[in-house]
Amino acid sequence: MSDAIEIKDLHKTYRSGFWLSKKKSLFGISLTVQKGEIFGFIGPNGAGKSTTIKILAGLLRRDSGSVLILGKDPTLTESRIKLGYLPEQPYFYDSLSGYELLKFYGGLSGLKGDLLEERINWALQLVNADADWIHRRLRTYSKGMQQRVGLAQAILHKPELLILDEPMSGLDPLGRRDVRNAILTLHSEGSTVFYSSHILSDVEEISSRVAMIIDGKIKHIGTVNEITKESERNSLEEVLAKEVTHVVP
Amino acid sequence: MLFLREAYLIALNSFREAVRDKIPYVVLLVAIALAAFSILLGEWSVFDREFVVKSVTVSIISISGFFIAVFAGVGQMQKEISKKTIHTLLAKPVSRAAFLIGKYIGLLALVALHCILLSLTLFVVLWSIGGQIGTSVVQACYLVFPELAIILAFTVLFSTYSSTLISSIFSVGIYLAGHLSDQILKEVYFAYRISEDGSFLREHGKFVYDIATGIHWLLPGLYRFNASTQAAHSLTIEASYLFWNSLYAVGYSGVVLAFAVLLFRKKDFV
Repeated sequence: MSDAIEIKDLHKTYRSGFWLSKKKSLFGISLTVQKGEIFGFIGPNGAGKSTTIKILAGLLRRDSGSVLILGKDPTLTESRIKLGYLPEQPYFYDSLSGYELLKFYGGLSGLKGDLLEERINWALQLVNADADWIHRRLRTYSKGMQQRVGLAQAILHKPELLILDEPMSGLDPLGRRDVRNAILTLHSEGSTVFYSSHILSDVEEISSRVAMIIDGKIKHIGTVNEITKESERNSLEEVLAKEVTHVVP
Repeated sequence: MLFLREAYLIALNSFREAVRDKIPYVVLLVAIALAAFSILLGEWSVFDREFVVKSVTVSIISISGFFIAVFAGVGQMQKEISKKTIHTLLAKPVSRAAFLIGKYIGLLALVALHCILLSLTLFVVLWSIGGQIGTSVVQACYLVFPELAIILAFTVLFSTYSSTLISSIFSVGIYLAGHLSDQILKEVYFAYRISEDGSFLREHGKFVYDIATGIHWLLPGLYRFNASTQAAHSLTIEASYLFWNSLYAVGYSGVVLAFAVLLFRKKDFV
Protein backbone atom coordinates (compact mmCIF):
# COMPACT_ATOMS: atom_id res chain seq x y z
CA MET A 1 0.00 0.00 0.00
CA SER A 2 1.45 3.39 -1.01
CA ASP A 3 1.90 6.28 1.41
CA ALA A 4 -0.41 9.28 1.25
CA ILE A 5 2.50 11.63 0.55
CA GLU A 6 6.05 10.73 -0.39
CA ILE A 7 8.60 13.51 -0.93
CA LYS A 8 12.23 12.70 -1.72
CA ASP A 9 15.05 15.21 -2.12
CA LEU A 10 12.74 17.99 -3.32
CA HIS A 11 14.34 21.19 -4.66
CA LYS A 12 12.60 24.33 -5.81
CA THR A 13 13.98 27.63 -7.10
CA TYR A 14 11.94 30.72 -7.92
CA ARG A 15 12.89 33.13 -10.65
CA SER A 16 11.69 36.69 -10.35
CA GLY A 17 12.30 40.24 -11.51
CA PHE A 18 13.40 41.54 -14.90
CA TRP A 19 16.66 39.56 -14.86
CA LEU A 20 14.91 36.41 -13.60
CA SER A 21 17.20 36.25 -10.61
CA LYS A 22 17.11 32.94 -8.75
CA LYS A 23 16.00 32.40 -5.18
CA LYS A 24 16.13 28.89 -3.84
CA SER A 25 13.23 27.97 -1.61
CA LEU A 26 13.58 24.23 -0.96
CA PHE A 27 16.90 22.46 -0.39
CA GLY A 28 16.26 18.75 -0.88
CA ILE A 29 13.47 18.09 1.59
CA SER A 30 12.23 14.54 2.19
CA LEU A 31 9.24 13.37 4.18
CA THR A 32 6.60 10.67 4.16
CA VAL A 33 3.02 10.92 5.37
CA GLN A 34 1.33 7.61 6.01
CA LYS A 35 -2.34 7.01 5.27
CA GLY A 36 -4.57 7.84 8.24
CA GLU A 37 -2.24 10.45 9.78
CA ILE A 38 -2.94 14.04 10.76
CA PHE A 39 0.38 15.55 9.81
CA GLY A 40 1.32 19.07 10.92
CA PHE A 41 3.78 21.08 8.85
CA ILE A 42 5.25 23.97 10.79
CA GLY A 43 7.93 26.61 10.39
CA PRO A 44 8.41 30.39 10.34
CA ASN A 45 7.20 32.62 7.47
CA GLY A 46 9.17 32.05 4.27
CA ALA A 47 10.49 28.67 5.41
CA GLY A 48 9.02 26.80 2.42
CA LYS A 49 5.72 25.44 3.78
CA SER A 50 3.47 26.96 1.14
CA THR A 51 5.96 26.13 -1.63
CA THR A 52 5.91 22.46 -0.61
CA ILE A 53 2.12 22.47 -0.38
CA LYS A 54 1.73 24.12 -3.79
CA ILE A 55 4.00 21.49 -5.34
CA LEU A 56 1.79 18.81 -3.77
CA ALA A 57 -1.32 20.50 -5.20
CA GLY A 58 0.22 20.66 -8.69
CA LEU A 59 0.39 24.47 -8.74
CA LEU A 60 4.19 24.70 -8.79
CA ARG A 61 6.65 22.61 -10.78
CA ARG A 62 9.65 21.19 -8.89
CA ASP A 63 13.28 21.59 -10.00
CA SER A 64 14.24 18.06 -9.00
CA GLY A 65 13.39 15.27 -6.58
CA SER A 66 10.37 13.02 -6.52
CA VAL A 67 6.89 13.74 -5.17
CA LEU A 68 4.00 11.32 -5.00
CA ILE A 69 0.52 11.91 -3.59
CA LEU A 70 -1.51 8.72 -3.15
CA GLY A 71 1.07 7.05 -5.39
CA LYS A 72 0.75 9.52 -8.28
CA ASP A 73 2.80 12.43 -9.57
CA PRO A 74 1.00 15.69 -8.59
CA THR A 75 1.54 17.15 -12.07
CA LEU A 76 -0.95 14.56 -13.38
CA THR A 77 -4.61 15.56 -13.36
CA GLU A 78 -5.72 12.14 -12.03
CA SER A 79 -3.56 12.61 -8.91
CA ARG A 80 -6.08 15.19 -7.72
CA ILE A 81 -9.21 13.03 -7.95
CA LYS A 82 -8.95 12.01 -4.29
CA LEU A 83 -7.30 15.23 -3.11
CA GLY A 84 -8.94 18.06 -1.20
CA TYR A 85 -7.03 21.35 -1.05
CA LEU A 86 -7.54 24.59 0.83
CA PRO A 87 -5.07 27.35 -0.12
CA GLU A 88 -3.73 29.92 2.31
CA GLN A 89 -6.10 32.91 2.42
CA PRO A 90 -8.48 31.44 -0.15
CA TYR A 91 -10.08 33.78 -2.70
CA PHE A 92 -13.23 32.88 -4.56
CA TYR A 93 -15.37 34.26 -7.37
CA ASP A 94 -17.04 37.09 -5.48
CA SER A 95 -19.92 37.40 -7.95
CA LEU A 96 -21.10 33.90 -7.02
CA SER A 97 -23.03 32.85 -3.93
CA GLY A 98 -21.49 30.31 -1.57
CA TYR A 99 -23.97 27.71 -2.83
CA GLU A 100 -23.14 28.36 -6.50
CA LEU A 101 -19.44 28.10 -5.69
CA LEU A 102 -19.85 24.76 -3.94
CA LYS A 103 -21.98 23.46 -6.82
CA PHE A 104 -19.28 24.51 -9.29
CA TYR A 105 -16.40 22.94 -7.36
CA GLY A 106 -18.45 19.84 -6.57
CA GLY A 107 -19.10 19.41 -10.29
CA LEU A 108 -15.39 19.67 -11.02
CA SER A 109 -14.78 17.00 -8.40
CA GLY A 110 -17.11 14.66 -10.30
CA LEU A 111 -20.25 15.07 -8.18
CA LYS A 112 -23.67 15.76 -9.66
CA GLY A 113 -27.41 15.61 -9.03
CA ASP A 114 -28.76 14.53 -5.66
CA LEU A 115 -25.37 13.33 -4.44
CA LEU A 116 -23.93 16.83 -4.98
CA GLU A 117 -26.82 18.44 -3.07
CA GLU A 118 -26.42 15.92 -0.28
CA ARG A 119 -22.66 16.54 -0.04
CA ILE A 120 -23.10 20.33 -0.02
CA ASN A 121 -25.45 20.04 2.96
CA TRP A 122 -23.10 17.56 4.67
CA ALA A 123 -20.01 19.78 4.16
CA LEU A 124 -21.80 22.94 5.35
CA GLN A 125 -22.94 21.13 8.47
CA LEU A 126 -19.43 19.85 9.12
CA VAL A 127 -17.85 23.31 8.94
CA ASN A 128 -20.70 24.69 11.05
CA ALA A 129 -21.93 27.10 8.38
CA ASP A 130 -25.27 28.94 8.66
CA ALA A 131 -27.70 27.86 5.98
CA ASP A 132 -29.07 31.42 5.61
CA TRP A 133 -25.87 33.04 4.29
CA ILE A 134 -25.01 30.36 1.80
CA HIS A 135 -27.17 32.01 -0.89
CA ARG A 136 -25.53 35.42 -0.42
CA ARG A 137 -22.76 36.66 -2.75
CA LEU A 138 -19.26 35.76 -1.59
CA ARG A 139 -18.16 39.41 -1.65
CA THR A 140 -20.31 39.95 1.46
CA TYR A 141 -18.59 37.16 3.44
CA SER A 142 -16.37 37.73 6.46
CA LYS A 143 -12.97 36.04 6.71
CA GLY A 144 -14.44 33.28 8.88
CA MET A 145 -17.27 32.58 6.44
CA GLN A 146 -14.86 32.48 3.50
CA GLN A 147 -12.63 30.03 5.35
CA ARG A 148 -15.62 27.80 6.10
CA VAL A 149 -16.72 27.79 2.46
CA GLY A 150 -13.09 27.14 1.51
CA LEU A 151 -12.94 24.10 3.74
CA ALA A 152 -16.36 22.94 2.52
CA GLN A 153 -15.22 23.00 -1.14
CA ALA A 154 -12.14 20.97 -0.21
CA ILE A 155 -14.10 18.18 1.48
CA LEU A 156 -17.20 17.93 -0.77
CA HIS A 157 -16.01 14.75 -2.49
CA LYS A 158 -14.80 13.15 0.78
CA PRO A 159 -11.14 13.13 -0.30
CA GLU A 160 -8.68 10.47 0.81
CA LEU A 161 -6.04 13.15 1.30
CA LEU A 162 -6.74 16.64 2.57
CA ILE A 163 -4.04 19.31 2.20
CA LEU A 164 -4.72 22.52 4.10
CA ASP A 165 -2.49 25.58 3.99
CA GLU A 166 -2.94 27.61 7.19
CA PRO A 167 -6.59 26.57 7.66
CA MET A 168 -6.89 28.42 10.96
CA SER A 169 -5.20 31.70 10.06
CA GLY A 170 -7.25 34.82 10.71
CA LEU A 171 -10.04 32.95 12.47
CA ASP A 172 -11.52 33.83 15.83
CA PRO A 173 -11.38 31.16 18.60
CA LEU A 174 -14.79 29.74 17.64
CA GLY A 175 -13.79 29.54 13.98
CA ARG A 176 -10.57 27.78 14.94
CA ARG A 177 -12.50 25.32 17.05
CA ASP A 178 -14.89 24.57 14.17
CA VAL A 179 -12.03 23.98 11.71
CA ARG A 180 -10.19 21.82 14.24
CA ASN A 181 -13.33 19.76 14.84
CA ALA A 182 -13.92 19.39 11.10
CA ILE A 183 -10.35 18.10 10.65
CA LEU A 184 -10.84 15.58 13.45
CA THR A 185 -14.18 14.40 12.04
CA LEU A 186 -12.73 13.94 8.56
CA HIS A 187 -9.80 12.05 10.02
CA SER A 188 -12.14 9.77 11.95
CA GLU A 189 -13.97 9.07 8.66
CA GLY A 190 -10.71 7.87 7.07
CA SER A 191 -9.09 10.95 5.47
CA THR A 192 -5.39 11.65 5.79
CA VAL A 193 -4.77 15.29 6.69
CA PHE A 194 -1.62 17.25 5.88
CA TYR A 195 -1.76 20.85 7.05
CA SER A 196 0.46 23.82 7.82
CA SER A 197 -0.16 26.13 10.72
CA HIS A 198 1.36 28.86 12.85
CA ILE A 199 -0.94 28.01 15.73
CA LEU A 200 1.33 25.55 17.47
CA SER A 201 -1.02 24.76 20.36
CA ASP A 202 -3.51 23.35 17.82
CA VAL A 203 -0.73 21.43 16.08
CA GLU A 204 0.33 19.86 19.38
CA GLU A 205 -3.26 18.95 20.15
CA ILE A 206 -4.37 17.23 16.95
CA SER A 207 -1.31 16.05 14.99
CA SER A 208 -0.14 12.44 14.93
CA ARG A 209 3.21 13.62 13.56
CA VAL A 210 4.85 16.93 12.78
CA ALA A 211 7.59 18.18 10.44
CA MET A 212 9.42 21.43 11.12
CA ILE A 213 10.88 23.24 8.12
CA ILE A 214 13.37 26.09 8.47
CA ASP A 215 14.96 27.90 5.52
CA GLY A 216 13.90 25.22 3.05
CA LYS A 217 15.26 22.29 5.06
CA ILE A 218 13.44 19.82 7.31
CA LYS A 219 14.88 20.25 10.80
CA HIS A 220 12.67 17.87 12.75
CA ILE A 221 10.19 15.17 11.96
CA GLY A 222 8.28 12.90 14.35
CA THR A 223 5.61 12.99 17.03
CA VAL A 224 5.35 16.11 19.20
CA ASN A 225 6.91 14.16 22.10
CA GLU A 226 9.81 12.95 19.98
CA ILE A 227 10.60 16.44 18.69
CA THR A 228 10.41 18.18 22.06
CA LYS A 229 12.44 15.42 23.71
CA GLU A 230 15.09 15.48 21.00
CA SER A 231 15.44 19.26 21.37
CA GLU A 232 15.20 19.20 25.15
CA ARG A 233 12.35 21.70 25.11
CA ASN A 234 8.81 21.65 26.54
CA SER A 235 6.77 22.67 23.52
CA LEU A 236 6.93 23.06 19.75
CA GLU A 237 7.00 26.83 20.20
CA GLU A 238 10.20 26.54 22.24
CA VAL A 239 11.74 24.19 19.68
CA LEU A 240 10.88 26.59 16.88
CA ALA A 241 12.25 29.58 18.81
CA LYS A 242 15.50 27.69 19.43
CA GLU A 243 15.85 26.74 15.74
CA VAL A 244 15.07 30.22 14.46
CA THR A 245 17.54 31.77 16.91
CA HIS A 246 20.17 29.44 15.52
CA VAL A 247 19.42 30.47 11.97
CA VAL A 248 19.26 34.24 12.47
CA PRO A 249 22.81 35.65 12.76
CA MET B 1 -15.51 12.94 -22.02
CA LEU B 2 -14.08 14.09 -18.70
CA PHE B 3 -12.19 16.89 -20.47
CA LEU B 4 -15.42 18.09 -22.10
CA ARG B 5 -17.29 18.08 -18.78
CA GLU B 6 -14.51 20.04 -17.06
CA ALA B 7 -14.35 22.57 -19.92
CA TYR B 8 -18.17 22.86 -19.97
CA LEU B 9 -18.37 23.60 -16.23
CA ILE B 10 -15.58 26.18 -16.43
CA ALA B 11 -17.19 27.77 -19.51
CA LEU B 12 -20.52 28.02 -17.70
CA ASN B 13 -18.90 29.62 -14.67
CA SER B 14 -16.85 31.98 -16.82
CA PHE B 15 -19.96 33.12 -18.73
CA ARG B 16 -21.92 33.59 -15.49
CA GLU B 17 -19.10 35.62 -13.99
CA ALA B 18 -18.83 37.75 -17.15
CA VAL B 19 -22.54 38.60 -17.34
CA ARG B 20 -22.49 39.62 -13.67
CA ASP B 21 -19.72 42.11 -14.38
CA LYS B 22 -20.55 45.76 -15.20
CA ILE B 23 -18.16 46.31 -18.11
CA PRO B 24 -20.05 44.32 -20.81
CA TYR B 25 -23.22 46.30 -20.03
CA VAL B 26 -21.41 49.64 -20.27
CA VAL B 27 -19.88 48.69 -23.64
CA LEU B 28 -23.24 47.33 -24.88
CA LEU B 29 -25.13 50.49 -23.88
CA VAL B 30 -22.53 52.78 -25.49
CA ALA B 31 -22.65 50.64 -28.67
CA ILE B 32 -26.48 50.76 -28.79
CA ALA B 33 -26.37 54.53 -28.27
CA LEU B 34 -23.85 54.86 -31.12
CA ALA B 35 -25.98 52.65 -33.38
CA ALA B 36 -28.96 54.92 -32.72
CA PHE B 37 -26.71 57.92 -33.32
CA SER B 38 -25.89 56.54 -36.79
CA ILE B 39 -29.42 57.63 -37.84
CA LEU B 40 -28.40 61.23 -37.15
CA LEU B 41 -25.10 60.69 -38.95
CA GLY B 42 -27.11 59.46 -41.94
CA GLU B 43 -29.12 62.69 -41.90
CA TRP B 44 -26.00 64.85 -41.86
CA SER B 45 -24.03 62.78 -44.37
CA VAL B 46 -23.98 63.34 -48.12
CA PHE B 47 -24.54 59.59 -48.48
CA ASP B 48 -27.82 57.73 -48.31
CA ARG B 49 -29.07 57.34 -44.69
CA GLU B 50 -29.45 53.57 -44.96
CA PHE B 51 -25.92 53.29 -46.38
CA VAL B 52 -24.47 55.18 -43.40
CA VAL B 53 -26.49 53.26 -40.80
CA LYS B 54 -25.38 49.89 -42.21
CA SER B 55 -21.67 50.64 -42.57
CA VAL B 56 -21.35 52.53 -39.27
CA THR B 57 -23.29 50.01 -37.18
CA VAL B 58 -21.45 46.95 -38.54
CA SER B 59 -18.17 48.70 -37.63
CA ILE B 60 -19.57 49.50 -34.18
CA ILE B 61 -20.40 45.81 -33.65
CA SER B 62 -16.81 44.90 -34.51
CA ILE B 63 -15.12 47.59 -32.39
CA SER B 64 -17.37 47.23 -29.33
CA GLY B 65 -17.04 43.44 -29.60
CA PHE B 66 -13.28 43.91 -29.61
CA PHE B 67 -13.50 45.91 -26.38
CA ILE B 68 -15.72 43.24 -24.80
CA ALA B 69 -13.27 40.50 -25.83
CA VAL B 70 -10.26 42.39 -24.46
CA PHE B 71 -11.82 43.72 -21.24
CA ALA B 72 -13.63 40.52 -20.33
CA GLY B 73 -10.88 38.19 -21.60
CA VAL B 74 -7.87 39.91 -20.08
CA GLY B 75 -9.84 40.99 -17.01
CA GLN B 76 -11.11 37.54 -16.14
CA MET B 77 -7.81 35.76 -16.77
CA GLN B 78 -5.84 38.31 -14.76
CA LYS B 79 -8.36 38.15 -11.92
CA GLU B 80 -7.99 34.36 -11.78
CA ILE B 81 -4.22 34.67 -11.49
CA SER B 82 -3.80 37.79 -9.33
CA LYS B 83 -6.68 36.99 -6.94
CA LYS B 84 -5.52 33.35 -6.88
CA THR B 85 -8.97 31.85 -7.53
CA ILE B 86 -7.11 29.63 -9.98
CA HIS B 87 -5.28 27.93 -7.07
CA THR B 88 -8.44 26.27 -5.78
CA LEU B 89 -9.60 25.45 -9.28
CA LEU B 90 -6.41 23.82 -10.56
CA ALA B 91 -6.12 21.74 -7.39
CA LYS B 92 -9.30 19.96 -8.58
CA PRO B 93 -8.96 17.13 -11.10
CA VAL B 94 -8.99 19.70 -13.92
CA SER B 95 -6.32 19.84 -16.61
CA ARG B 96 -4.80 23.21 -17.42
CA ALA B 97 -5.91 22.75 -21.04
CA ALA B 98 -9.55 22.25 -19.93
CA PHE B 99 -9.27 25.40 -17.82
CA LEU B 100 -8.07 27.55 -20.75
CA ILE B 101 -10.50 26.07 -23.29
CA GLY B 102 -13.39 26.41 -20.82
CA LYS B 103 -12.50 30.05 -20.13
CA TYR B 104 -12.29 30.71 -23.86
CA ILE B 105 -15.66 29.13 -24.61
CA GLY B 106 -17.38 30.97 -21.74
CA LEU B 107 -16.01 34.31 -22.93
CA LEU B 108 -16.84 33.45 -26.54
CA ALA B 109 -20.47 32.94 -25.47
CA LEU B 110 -20.42 36.47 -24.01
CA VAL B 111 -19.01 37.84 -27.28
CA ALA B 112 -21.67 35.93 -29.26
CA LEU B 113 -24.42 37.37 -27.04
CA HIS B 114 -23.02 40.86 -27.59
CA CYS B 115 -22.97 40.35 -31.39
CA ILE B 116 -26.55 39.04 -31.39
CA LEU B 117 -27.87 41.94 -29.28
CA LEU B 118 -26.15 44.57 -31.42
CA SER B 119 -27.23 42.88 -34.67
CA LEU B 120 -30.82 43.01 -33.40
CA THR B 121 -30.25 46.70 -32.59
CA LEU B 122 -29.10 47.27 -36.19
CA PHE B 123 -32.19 45.49 -37.52
CA VAL B 124 -34.45 47.65 -35.32
CA VAL B 125 -32.65 50.84 -36.42
CA LEU B 126 -32.94 49.81 -40.09
CA TRP B 127 -36.63 48.95 -39.66
CA SER B 128 -37.29 52.28 -37.94
CA ILE B 129 -35.89 54.23 -40.92
CA GLY B 130 -37.66 51.98 -43.43
CA GLY B 131 -34.39 50.38 -44.60
CA GLN B 132 -33.88 46.86 -45.93
CA ILE B 133 -32.61 44.07 -43.70
CA GLY B 134 -31.11 42.03 -46.52
CA THR B 135 -28.91 38.94 -46.54
CA SER B 136 -25.79 41.09 -46.88
CA VAL B 137 -26.47 42.81 -43.53
CA VAL B 138 -26.97 39.48 -41.75
CA GLN B 139 -23.77 38.13 -43.36
CA ALA B 140 -21.76 41.20 -42.34
CA CYS B 141 -23.03 40.91 -38.75
CA TYR B 142 -22.17 37.20 -38.73
CA LEU B 143 -18.61 37.77 -39.96
CA VAL B 144 -17.81 39.92 -36.92
CA PHE B 145 -18.11 36.83 -34.72
CA PRO B 146 -15.25 34.73 -36.22
CA GLU B 147 -13.10 37.87 -36.19
CA LEU B 148 -13.72 38.32 -32.46
CA ALA B 149 -13.12 34.61 -31.85
CA ILE B 150 -9.56 35.08 -33.11
CA ILE B 151 -9.05 38.24 -31.03
CA LEU B 152 -10.34 36.45 -27.93
CA ALA B 153 -7.89 33.58 -28.47
CA PHE B 154 -5.07 36.14 -28.53
CA THR B 155 -6.28 37.85 -25.34
CA VAL B 156 -6.32 34.46 -23.59
CA LEU B 157 -2.79 33.75 -24.87
CA PHE B 158 -1.40 37.14 -23.84
CA SER B 159 -3.05 37.19 -20.42
CA THR B 160 -1.62 33.81 -19.44
CA TYR B 161 1.82 35.42 -19.29
CA SER B 162 1.51 39.23 -19.26
CA SER B 163 -0.01 41.91 -17.07
CA THR B 164 -3.41 43.46 -17.81
CA LEU B 165 -1.86 46.51 -19.48
CA ILE B 166 0.62 44.60 -21.67
CA SER B 167 -2.04 42.05 -22.68
CA SER B 168 -4.44 44.83 -23.66
CA ILE B 169 -1.76 46.68 -25.67
CA PHE B 170 -0.77 43.47 -27.47
CA SER B 171 -4.42 42.73 -28.25
CA VAL B 172 -4.92 46.22 -29.73
CA GLY B 173 -1.73 45.67 -31.77
CA ILE B 174 -3.03 42.36 -33.14
CA TYR B 175 -6.41 43.93 -33.99
CA LEU B 176 -4.79 46.79 -35.92
CA ALA B 177 -2.14 44.61 -37.59
CA GLY B 178 -4.75 42.00 -38.55
CA HIS B 179 -6.91 44.64 -40.23
CA LEU B 180 -4.03 46.44 -41.95
CA SER B 181 -1.74 43.57 -42.99
CA ASP B 182 -3.40 43.09 -46.40
CA GLN B 183 -3.23 46.81 -47.15
CA ILE B 184 0.43 47.01 -46.09
CA LEU B 185 1.34 44.07 -48.34
CA LYS B 186 -0.36 45.76 -51.28
CA GLU B 187 1.53 49.00 -50.56
CA VAL B 188 4.87 47.17 -50.42
CA TYR B 189 4.16 45.46 -53.75
CA PHE B 190 3.04 48.74 -55.29
CA ALA B 191 6.21 50.52 -54.09
CA TYR B 192 8.33 47.69 -55.55
CA ARG B 193 6.55 47.91 -58.91
CA ILE B 194 6.96 51.65 -59.32
CA SER B 195 10.55 51.75 -58.02
CA GLU B 196 13.20 52.93 -60.48
CA ASP B 197 15.93 50.68 -61.85
CA GLY B 198 19.06 50.76 -59.69
CA SER B 199 17.19 52.07 -56.62
CA PHE B 200 17.46 50.25 -53.28
CA LEU B 201 13.84 49.10 -53.50
CA ARG B 202 14.33 47.66 -56.99
CA GLU B 203 17.54 45.85 -55.86
CA HIS B 204 16.13 44.45 -52.62
CA GLY B 205 12.42 44.81 -53.31
CA LYS B 206 11.82 41.08 -53.79
CA PHE B 207 13.39 40.30 -50.42
CA VAL B 208 11.34 43.01 -48.68
CA TYR B 209 8.18 41.75 -50.40
CA ASP B 210 8.93 38.15 -49.31
CA ILE B 211 9.34 39.28 -45.69
CA ALA B 212 6.12 41.32 -45.88
CA THR B 213 4.32 38.27 -47.34
CA GLY B 214 5.62 36.09 -44.47
CA ILE B 215 4.40 38.56 -41.86
CA HIS B 216 1.10 38.88 -43.72
CA TRP B 217 0.52 35.11 -43.54
CA LEU B 218 1.58 34.92 -39.91
CA LEU B 219 -0.76 37.70 -38.71
CA PRO B 220 -4.47 36.95 -38.41
CA GLY B 221 -6.26 38.08 -41.57
CA LEU B 222 -8.93 40.08 -39.78
CA TYR B 223 -9.56 42.18 -42.92
CA ARG B 224 -11.32 39.07 -44.32
CA PHE B 225 -14.13 39.56 -41.83
CA ASN B 226 -14.87 43.21 -42.59
CA ALA B 227 -17.98 43.17 -44.76
CA SER B 228 -19.42 46.56 -43.82
CA THR B 229 -18.97 47.84 -47.40
CA GLN B 230 -20.84 44.84 -48.83
CA ALA B 231 -23.62 45.39 -46.29
CA ALA B 232 -23.84 49.10 -47.12
CA HIS B 233 -24.10 48.35 -50.86
CA SER B 234 -26.42 45.35 -50.28
CA LEU B 235 -23.94 43.00 -51.98
CA THR B 236 -24.51 39.37 -51.01
CA ILE B 237 -21.37 37.41 -50.06
CA GLU B 238 -20.88 33.92 -51.51
CA ALA B 239 -21.61 31.06 -49.10
CA SER B 240 -18.20 29.49 -49.84
CA TYR B 241 -16.47 32.72 -48.68
CA LEU B 242 -18.36 32.56 -45.38
CA PHE B 243 -17.57 28.86 -44.98
CA TRP B 244 -13.83 29.03 -45.69
CA ASN B 245 -13.28 32.11 -43.59
CA SER B 246 -15.23 30.62 -40.69
CA LEU B 247 -13.00 27.56 -40.99
CA TYR B 248 -9.95 29.86 -41.11
CA ALA B 249 -11.09 31.48 -37.83
CA VAL B 250 -11.60 28.09 -36.17
CA GLY B 251 -8.15 26.89 -37.31
CA TYR B 252 -6.35 30.12 -36.39
CA SER B 253 -7.99 30.34 -32.96
CA GLY B 254 -7.18 26.67 -32.40
CA VAL B 255 -3.49 27.21 -33.12
CA VAL B 256 -3.33 30.29 -30.85
CA LEU B 257 -5.10 28.41 -28.04
CA ALA B 258 -2.83 25.38 -28.48
CA PHE B 259 0.15 27.70 -28.06
CA ALA B 260 -1.49 29.23 -24.96
CA VAL B 261 -2.01 25.73 -23.49
CA LEU B 262 1.65 24.84 -24.14
CA LEU B 263 2.85 27.94 -22.25
CA PHE B 264 0.26 27.55 -19.50
CA ARG B 265 1.22 23.93 -18.75
CA LYS B 266 4.64 25.03 -17.48
CA LYS B 267 3.43 28.04 -15.51
CA ASP B 268 4.05 28.25 -11.77
CA PHE B 269 1.25 29.68 -9.61
CA VAL B 270 3.04 31.33 -6.72
